[in-house]
Amino acid sequence: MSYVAGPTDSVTSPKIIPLSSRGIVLWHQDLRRHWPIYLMALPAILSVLIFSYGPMFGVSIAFLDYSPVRGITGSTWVGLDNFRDAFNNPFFLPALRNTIILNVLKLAIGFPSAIILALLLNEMRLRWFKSTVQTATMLPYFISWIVAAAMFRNLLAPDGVINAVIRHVFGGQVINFMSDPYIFRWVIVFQDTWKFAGYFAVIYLAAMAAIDPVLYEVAQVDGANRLQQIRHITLPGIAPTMITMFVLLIGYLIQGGLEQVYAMYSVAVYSTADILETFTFRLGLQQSRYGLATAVGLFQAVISVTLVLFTNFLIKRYNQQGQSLF
Amino acid sequence: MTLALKRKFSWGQVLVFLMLLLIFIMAAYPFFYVLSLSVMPYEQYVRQPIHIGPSGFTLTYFQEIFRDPRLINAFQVSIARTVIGTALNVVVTIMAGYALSRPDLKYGRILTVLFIVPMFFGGGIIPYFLTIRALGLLNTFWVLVIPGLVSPFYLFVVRAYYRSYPQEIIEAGRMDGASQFGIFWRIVWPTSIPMIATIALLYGTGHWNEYFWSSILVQPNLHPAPVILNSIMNNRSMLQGLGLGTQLTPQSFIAAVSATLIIPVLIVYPFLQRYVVTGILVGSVKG
Amino acid sequence: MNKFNKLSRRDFLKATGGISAGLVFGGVLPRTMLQQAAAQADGVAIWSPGDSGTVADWNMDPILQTVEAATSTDIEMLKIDWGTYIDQVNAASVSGTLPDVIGVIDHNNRALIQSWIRDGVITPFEGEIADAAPNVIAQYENNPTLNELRIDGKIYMQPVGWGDGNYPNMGLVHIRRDLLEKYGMTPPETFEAYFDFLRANIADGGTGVLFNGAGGIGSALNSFAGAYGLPVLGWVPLDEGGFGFWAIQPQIKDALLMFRGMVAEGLVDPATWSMDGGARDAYVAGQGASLIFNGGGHIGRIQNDMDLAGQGAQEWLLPALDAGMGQRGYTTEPMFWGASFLGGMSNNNPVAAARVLNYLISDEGYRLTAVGVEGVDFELVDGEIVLLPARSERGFGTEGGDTGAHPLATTIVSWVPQSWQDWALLYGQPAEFQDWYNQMWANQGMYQTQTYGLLSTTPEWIDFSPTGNELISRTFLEIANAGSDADASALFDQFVNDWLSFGGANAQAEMSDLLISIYE
Repeated sequence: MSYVAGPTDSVTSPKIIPLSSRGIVLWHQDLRRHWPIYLMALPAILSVLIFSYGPMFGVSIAFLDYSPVRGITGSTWVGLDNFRDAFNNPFFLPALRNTIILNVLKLAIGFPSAIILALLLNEMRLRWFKSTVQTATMLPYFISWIVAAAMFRNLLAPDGVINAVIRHVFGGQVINFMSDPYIFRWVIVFQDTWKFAGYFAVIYLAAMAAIDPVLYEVAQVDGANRLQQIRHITLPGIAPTMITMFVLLIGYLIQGGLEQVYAMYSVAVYSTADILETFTFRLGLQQSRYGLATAVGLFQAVISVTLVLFTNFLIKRYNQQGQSLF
Repeated sequence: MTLALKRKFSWGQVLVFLMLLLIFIMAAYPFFYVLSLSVMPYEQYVRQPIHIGPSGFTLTYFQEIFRDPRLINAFQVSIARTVIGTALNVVVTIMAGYALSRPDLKYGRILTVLFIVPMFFGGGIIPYFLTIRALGLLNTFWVLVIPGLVSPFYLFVVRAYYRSYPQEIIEAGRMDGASQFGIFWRIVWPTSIPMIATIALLYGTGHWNEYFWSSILVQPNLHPAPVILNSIMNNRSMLQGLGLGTQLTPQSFIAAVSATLIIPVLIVYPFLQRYVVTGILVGSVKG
Repeated sequence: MNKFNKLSRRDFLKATGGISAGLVFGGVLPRTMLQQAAAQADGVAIWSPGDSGTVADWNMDPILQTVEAATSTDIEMLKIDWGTYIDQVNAASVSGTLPDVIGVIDHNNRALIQSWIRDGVITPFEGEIADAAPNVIAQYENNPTLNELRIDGKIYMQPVGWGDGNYPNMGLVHIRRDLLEKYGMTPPETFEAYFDFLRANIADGGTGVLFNGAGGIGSALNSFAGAYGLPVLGWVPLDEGGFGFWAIQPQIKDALLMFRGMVAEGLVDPATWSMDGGARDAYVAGQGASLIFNGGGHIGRIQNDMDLAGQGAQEWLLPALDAGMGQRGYTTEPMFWGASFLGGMSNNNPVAAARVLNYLISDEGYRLTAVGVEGVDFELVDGEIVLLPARSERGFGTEGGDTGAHPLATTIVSWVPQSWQDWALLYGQPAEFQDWYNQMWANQGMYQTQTYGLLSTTPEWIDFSPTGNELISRTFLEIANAGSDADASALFDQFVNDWLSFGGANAQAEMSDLLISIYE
């Protein structure tokens, strides 16, 4: 794991090394030695401090009857009223449930889809075909949700291509993809997979490329077929990457999806597609309930961080290889 | 390797081929369809029940786009923010990713945590808005460029890339007496083109596609193209609901605006693709 | 290695620097980045939703200049897309940069308006502001129902309307007269006859009735509720005294069951449920045999658009249908939607802004924005307006589907008065078109259902109505698509329970007391 012999390596022989060079470098020594390095990171650090940490102080709005004109200091403190209002709203629990169901489905379908796509691409021996498919599957990652929504609305409309094929080729009934609550849920899951599978597949392909080819040669000599090789070499080989991606995705189980759902949904599918973000957007922002909107956001953020830390802990605890995220 | 690459017919390969072909169609057809719609006369669209591909050809809708001063302005804003924003993003992210990859930094781990936290925890829409206002960035061009200066996710991709970067090169530079800046600027940067191309594409498409914040943080004269597209799609329903007539916006026109947003990506992406794949490959191995 | 790898950092900088410099000097940045609102002595900034139509530069627009001259102001006009308008206004109120005139905002969003008043974001028409806007005040004196829009006795809203009184407008049943003739039918008077017409259309390979169903069935229920004597907005007097909200009345269940029957029989075009504004376009283009949609100027414009589409379609508006219950009617509503406000923040100039609003709603202002300046845009020949060709280059709409008015005519003080809409639609039309148009206009209001307290509100009602509205739009949609009458019925009963228990019961009691004090 170590790339270059540095001061940290000397920890292996601690007794004879003076304290200061044992990795316990004093801050001014470190700064003097590495100031150009820190300077290089400075714009990014400032950017994150201002635009990511700055707003975190604003979460106090969640506890205020916030009035934009009077500002944070001039608004009335209302304690947990905003949280109570949010949780008591009849549409909050359905939105929470929908958020979790949609994200679990996205994880259950999208996560393996990317791995399967990567495995298929990895097995494909026609180079030009492999790269064509790779290009095509990555493209959706690079377009706007607005454009993606326009595409899907067209394709899935009752008079769109998909329904035309269903009716004229298969003689079936029109399917209301965009307005049937249960079908719409799958449309969202499919669209999400469509947009991200190609991108994540590249990451897995990377991990596969790093597997020592000798392992496959040995396996072939042992008479293992392709499927057995995938099962016993490829999959274990990309396991660390899979775990990393999994932990990252777990963190998003209770948030995300605003741009996608907002561009696609309608009242007809609120019962399955109204997620916490859209709920907050409608009942919070569009009616100037700033405190309530911020309270729901804070609730989601806290759960997310908890989920990530918990998953990371579980992996650390039960995975002997120690492939946790941090 | 010889065994693995030996070309011979196998049913397995045929199966893999067919499955990938199906995936290819699912991934690419929506693009093909929206492009077909954008050049297809609307009369044809209305007349025929099924149109799998284009029938007829017209550039009317594209001409309409470039006659509309609002859309021309929007595309100019989009181009400006994409070019300037991406350039800043790339420089800042590459520098920071390189810095964080240095193994002997005392505060490297703290900085890493500093960047991880915002990936999952944020203040929410309103506090973010208030921060932007406090900085005086509302309704300025710079609000489209500066706040997303660095994305932690891409930063970690870059960091991983430099962790697996051949350290001998850097060591050699140090032996030659180059300063730390000099090493980065003269040695590391020019040899990082795949990584630069990768994150330039990731950031660039991010700028090109973003619409949610732009619609709130700046006034219409600074709205980039996706915001206008969203408006065009919503506009007619609002106006018509209110008892006011409005000209028809045929599906073909919406498709043409979508196509105008897609085509630059379709042009740029194949050029950068190989670097992107390499960049993500290298960057993610030690993710 | 490929040539791309040889791209040095200098090339990279040259490329991006060159492109940026090109953009800066090419004029993109100066125009978009440096554009600043220079507030002047009696400058008036106006924001209104929509687009600028054919007006390329508001500072050079002759009609706007006429308004400026008449009110001695310097107007800075900003049109904002509907999709982002409310967010932009909210953002501006948070950042303290609201314009002097805030164009149309949903007047039903009382929570927002009250918070604006509390925070001093908007200012009432009082004192010298009221003196500057006698026409605004006069509207309240001439139409007493508007007084329900007062807040704490003060006038804050310039209602954005198309007429002064009340008349049905939303959820009207349009049908294709040419198809009626094809099937040998006469215009339906009853639901049974209407359903027969739709059945004939389905048998003919048609798709039935269309409406914008993505947002819920909403006002499409209008005629159905009217057949049971109920409105689809506001409050109704109860037999036991007091007032009740329309949506939870037991007869609404019957209206919904009739509606469900229509859906279940397949008489509704399946595309309806994903239509969010597209129903009118589809109907005009020849899809569907009937459309449930707004009336007013739409009737004439739908026929115009049908002519443009060239499918030979003929528009006809049905009077409210009869279900044999002895009642029928479309809900009568005030002829306005939304209101404009005067900014009350430190940077605002409400007196000058009031002058502008006052001018725009004067007869002179309405005529200016509807047809233009005499001698330039039109001339009077024997007292009749004759449009001049120069008009089309001065910002007035020329597209087939619009009202032909100037963009200033909408979303600031009005949606173009109905009288001017009628004038524009009938201009240059043959007598038979005029007769037909008047007939349709009469059909629209032939049977009316009264409603009460549409503009009134109370604190509890302000809190509850967003939840209540969402409950209605969600559940009625489910009921319309329910598997059986029994399911639909159960859903409705559950809805009434939910509505009452989520806060509706208290809010309704409070409203009822208020309405008793107004009407009894």
